[in-house]
Amino acid sequence: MAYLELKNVSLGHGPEGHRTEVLRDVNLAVEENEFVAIIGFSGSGKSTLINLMAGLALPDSGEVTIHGKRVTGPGPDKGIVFQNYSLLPWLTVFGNIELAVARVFPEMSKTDRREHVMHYIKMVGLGHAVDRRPAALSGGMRQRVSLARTLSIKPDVLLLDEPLSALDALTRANLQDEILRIWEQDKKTVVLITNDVDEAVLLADRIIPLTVGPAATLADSIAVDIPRPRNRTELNHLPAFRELKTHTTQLLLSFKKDQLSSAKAIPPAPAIVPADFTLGRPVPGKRRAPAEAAA
Amino acid sequence: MAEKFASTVDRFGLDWHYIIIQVVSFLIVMAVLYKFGIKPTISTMEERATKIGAGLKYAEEMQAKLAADEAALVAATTAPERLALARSIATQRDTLAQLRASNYSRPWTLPDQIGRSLRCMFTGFVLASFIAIPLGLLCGLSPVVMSALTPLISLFKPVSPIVWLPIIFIIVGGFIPDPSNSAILNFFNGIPLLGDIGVNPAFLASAVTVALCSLWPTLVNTALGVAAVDKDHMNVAKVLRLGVATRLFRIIIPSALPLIFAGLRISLGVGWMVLIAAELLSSSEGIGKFVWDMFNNGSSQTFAQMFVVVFVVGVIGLALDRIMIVFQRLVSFDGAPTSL
Repeated sequence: MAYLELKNVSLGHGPEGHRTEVLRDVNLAVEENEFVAIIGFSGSGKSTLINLMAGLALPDSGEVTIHGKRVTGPGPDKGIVFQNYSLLPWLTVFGNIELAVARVFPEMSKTDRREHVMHYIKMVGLGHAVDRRPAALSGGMRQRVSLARTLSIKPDVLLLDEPLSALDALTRANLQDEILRIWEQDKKTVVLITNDVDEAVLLADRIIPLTVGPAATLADSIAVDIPRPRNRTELNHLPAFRELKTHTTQLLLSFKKDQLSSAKAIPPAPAIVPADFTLGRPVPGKRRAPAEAAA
Repeated sequence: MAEKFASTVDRFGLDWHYIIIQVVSFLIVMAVLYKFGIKPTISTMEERATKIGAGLKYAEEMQAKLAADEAALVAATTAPERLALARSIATQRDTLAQLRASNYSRPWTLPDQIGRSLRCMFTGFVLASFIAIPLGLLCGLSPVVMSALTPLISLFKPVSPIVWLPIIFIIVGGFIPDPSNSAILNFFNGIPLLGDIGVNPAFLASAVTVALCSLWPTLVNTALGVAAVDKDHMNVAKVLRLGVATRLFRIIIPSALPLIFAGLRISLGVGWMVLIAAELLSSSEGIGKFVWDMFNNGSSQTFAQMFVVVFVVGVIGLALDRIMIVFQRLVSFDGAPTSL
């Protein structure tokens, strides 16, 4: 029995009769302490999938189970790192993380809690910015705080909803290495949603492509058998890496082509000439000649 | 040390260029005011003071005469003498009593009236905030309450304070049939800053009018601030499974505070404007009544005095606005400028 399972999950929105299916018959099985990456195009339902796993949305049919128990709502055992960081702007870095820790570990004493929070702040490399507000942090730093907050509540499953999409390429590379390092130290079950094939191949044990919406579903998973610990610079020399990248990218692009070809052909436009409403005779009154009016 | 000072100055948004220009323009206005407004007003007030001094001297003379007459009554022997002396003593006692009373019924000085106006306005403002902020919170949290209250808000918002005032007078008068011993008046007189100027039903009527007219901006802004809480913040609350009270006090209210303070600032401005209008019509002592009295007075300095009031009202309104801006800056968390 897998740790996190989705069985025939479907979700759509809209009223009865006009329902748009976002996801149809999604099946997923994630083993414990496995790192799975789900890749898809924008608008294919990736965030909806993560919301289903986190319990922020409930499926129309099928079920989501963690450790055998059905997921009925959100909770601190399903830690989710949002795409938009979701930091509370009136609290400092320390305050944001402390809010989560105080809620999830209420029996911790004040000193223990402080140590716990500082441990995670240092883990993401923000020891120098403990008392800053989010408005004074860069995008990469904010995402680190969000990651630290989710890690500090010690969830059973870590769900990353396109955590690095809103960052520039250099910060992205930096944070990918950070996530890799943190995961190597303390292995958890992780589901990463991303649109970057490189990122998926670098970080994950398995890549699962999401077909293009509407009614998207998960295609067969592609195993990433590059040995760990992975090093970004060495990766480029491995032929396995290049093959995986090409294979995954071509697979995703083929989904897109299928979608375009399956779209209904545009019917030819009817051959209509607009009717002529001009009068045959000149109209009295002040009127500029058409040539002047157009100038 | 210097850095801390510099950062505090920055926090409050003080910029020495602006301050110098503002001081210079203020001095120009003060010079104009002094020439056309303050000097005539001060001379009027000095005249009044000498009149009062003369009245006091008269009272003292009367008292001395009364003492002499009482001594004479004791020494008088014949009945008609005693009767005449008794009558004169009685009238002198009456006059003295009147003079004593008139000491306290002197017309108020302008600074006293400003103080009274400010207290009246703040009473109304605090009343308005106590009604508007909880109601606004409720409206923002529940779309049902919001749609239920929107027609009522739209109905009462445009009503002018001058229309509210007579209605409030009747209502307040109904609740306070006997001003000399009323629980409501005693409660208000018990509050330290209000007690020393004496709260009467007219004061309460003005305060309630201010409250009714200035609660709408706060109400609308609070509702908007609460309804517009970021969905991401609510997702965080859901994932952490925060309780209702924690959600309200640690996420919703801090998120809505900038808009709440924006509403309070607008309400303060509206309240000050409404108060002057309400005082003009009510008989509650204050700046408005001062203007009305001067208008009815019709002396040669009336126009100048009324204009002094215009500038006083403007300066106080400016000062109140700046104070509210400071508070607004303190609660805003994204450093956005709230005003110049």
